[in-house]
Amino acid sequence: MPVRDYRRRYLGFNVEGAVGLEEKTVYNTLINAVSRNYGVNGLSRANMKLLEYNVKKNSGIVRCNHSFLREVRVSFALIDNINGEPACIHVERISGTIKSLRDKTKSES
Amino acid sequence: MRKFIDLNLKATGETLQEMLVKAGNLGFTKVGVDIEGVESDLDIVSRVNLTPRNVNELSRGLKKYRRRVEVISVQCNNIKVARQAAKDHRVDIISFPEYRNGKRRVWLDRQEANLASESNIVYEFLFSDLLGKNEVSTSKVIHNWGMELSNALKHDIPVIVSSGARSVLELREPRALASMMVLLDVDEDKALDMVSTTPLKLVERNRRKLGDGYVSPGVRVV
Repeated sequence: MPVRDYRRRYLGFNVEGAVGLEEKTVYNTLINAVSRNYGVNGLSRANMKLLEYNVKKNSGIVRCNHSFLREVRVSFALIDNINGEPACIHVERISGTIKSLRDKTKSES
Repeated sequence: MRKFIDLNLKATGETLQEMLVKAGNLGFTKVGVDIEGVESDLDIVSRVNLTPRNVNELSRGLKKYRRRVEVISVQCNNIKVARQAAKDHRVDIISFPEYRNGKRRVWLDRQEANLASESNIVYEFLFSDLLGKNEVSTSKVIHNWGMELSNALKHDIPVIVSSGARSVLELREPRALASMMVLLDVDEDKALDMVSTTPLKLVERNRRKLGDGYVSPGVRVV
């Protein structure tokens, strides 16, 4: 039976404060947050990827390694500005599959 | 299911109302504010933050507020106040000022922890201490927290984590506050207790004390 080498977690997040940010800006902010706290080694262990970002809703989905989830979460919590503008990132939901994350988000909204 | 509590919101006026709404959305069921007469859908815990300059001021503050508010927090700016606060059973929470360059910092050292452990005092970490700082300052705060946490755990002092938020953007979801303790190598369950069980116990204990018929721990007029 095929088994994944490592498990993933999908984080649904919401950006507050800064409005109309480009996907690349958000991606850089998230990457910088993790590398600021845990360095390049941490970033490689987090294996993070921004899967989608909705500019209108200021929300998006990030994928990371499940064993580095808490570290990613605290890194996001420590973000207090984006491009010098006061902002914060709230992780709203975490799920093991992107499908269930989307389903839960849809059912809530 | 866990109930989460943020015991320290520092805003006033309209900002506070916005923060209360946001705190509810983030999953908190109770919040502590240091203003009287706040109305909200959330369960509001009345709290006072004392920052006495000397022992007399501390005693006066405790005498004035103990029967009026549910939680009394003391920020210990000097060693005499810190020692007295740690000995006094009327104090619920102690905290210490942040590290400042070139100044000797009062902190939860071994002696302080020893005194506090005998008085049922809770030690509070504020998430806002980590925000708006550069890497060096943040690392110093985390280093100090590590030493204080180790002393607190050695002496069985309960630890709580609060946001200390002054604006909506400083608020964080309960699990983010708990995950902050990952920086100090605390287990996930213990970290979650610091934003749920431990502060809830403190509030419930104090509400029982302020309720009718309370005489002393375990004794009540029926």
